[in-house]
Amino acid sequence: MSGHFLDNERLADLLVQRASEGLSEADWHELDGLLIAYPEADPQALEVTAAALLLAGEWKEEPLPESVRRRLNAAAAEFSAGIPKVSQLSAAVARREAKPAASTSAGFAWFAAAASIVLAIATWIPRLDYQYSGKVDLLSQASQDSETLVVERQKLLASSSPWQKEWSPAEDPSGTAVKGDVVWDPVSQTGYMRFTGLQANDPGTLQYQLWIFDETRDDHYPVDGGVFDIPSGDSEVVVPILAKLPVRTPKLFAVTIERSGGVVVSSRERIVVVAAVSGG
Amino acid sequence: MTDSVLARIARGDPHSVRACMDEFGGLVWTIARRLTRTRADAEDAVQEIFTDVWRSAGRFDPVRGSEKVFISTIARRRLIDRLRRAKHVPVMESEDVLERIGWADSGDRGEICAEAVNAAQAVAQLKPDQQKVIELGVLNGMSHQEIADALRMPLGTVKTQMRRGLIQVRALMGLESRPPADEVAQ
Repeated sequence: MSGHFLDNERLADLLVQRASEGLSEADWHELDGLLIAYPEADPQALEVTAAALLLAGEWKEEPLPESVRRRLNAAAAEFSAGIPKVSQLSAAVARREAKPAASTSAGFAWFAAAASIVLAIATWIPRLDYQYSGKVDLLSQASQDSETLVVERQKLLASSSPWQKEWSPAEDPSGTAVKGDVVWDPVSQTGYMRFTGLQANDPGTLQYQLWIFDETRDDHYPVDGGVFDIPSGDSEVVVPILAKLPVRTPKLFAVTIERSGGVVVSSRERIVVVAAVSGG
Repeated sequence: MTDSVLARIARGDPHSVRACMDEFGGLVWTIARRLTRTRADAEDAVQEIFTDVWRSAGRFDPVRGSEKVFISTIARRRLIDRLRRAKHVPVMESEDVLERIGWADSGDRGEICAEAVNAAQAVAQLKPDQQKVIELGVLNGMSHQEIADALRMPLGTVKTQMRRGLIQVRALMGLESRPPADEVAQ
């Protein structure tokens, strides 16, 4: 799409609405759809402008009241207590993915990114909205046999725009022996997950679910990437990614174990594997 | 060069979480008081905002702006969400009546950050109607409909002035490499 994103009148209206009085879910959905045509657009541009304007107001900064400070101290202590656990997980991911030849600063930057990303996983709250439709995922997976999926993945890899990232184990023991990768094409919004060593699941009890963290979205609201199963007896399984919302700038793919049918609000208790996009 | 407090939080430094609160607590509290209906709302909002800031610290990019603007952006987003939700909830206590505020002289905001100075200079170049609409909406947290009522202006005109004003300020602040075709000229 040529032209400046703010030349699109409806898109500009929605971004102004977002920056000034917020959007309804329907508006968010429409905004996401319009932004696909402008991959270079900064959807936060006018929010940042409004924040700078707010600072230009004629007001005097008031000190934080002591009662609020006490509440925040408690929240800060609780938040800080979670950091070591997150850092350990990040370090585990970093050990597995860091390249020996990488410079110290590059490795450090990657570690910082991983820490913040994994922190996001540990605290996300998937949004309760239109993106959930677990049954469709399973029908889509079943409608293609495994050989077809392998071929389709190879075709996608051979095209011009996809990238490929390896899985790293996360907290859940079921992820320790998992190998494989994610292939994602941002242009066609299609992708595949490849797994070896991921335990077969009983679809009537537990299922796997993919979440995609997008740089342009709030980390509390990852995109639901679909519910899927791993059949027994297969050494390698390829699963199509079925993102329920447009994915503009993915930064992390995470697979969790959830109850049968998938969830809209993850318990965050069983994160199996992750694939970080940034710095990898 | 000293690391920013947000960079330290992103790296997992537990002391920096409280340091962030010490450094920006007053800013967040003041913004929350401006954009909430009651003091109790503001107290709840501040905790939400800081939790969001700590979690989002890894996304801060000093090339794109200052920590103050990054934190203020998160604060405004949270507070706007709360205002939207609050429309459906009856208020159980009396709402605070806060005095409306206007624009500071651009020379007075040097202690805040460079973006605030630029924004003040940019807004001074807008038409009076655009300045007023942005003043009521951004500084005083009024909805488009509330602005239309206060200024006795059609709702569509308020929306247009808000759009043109924000886009023009962005261009005048040098945040946009190429302003859209019809906004700055009007």
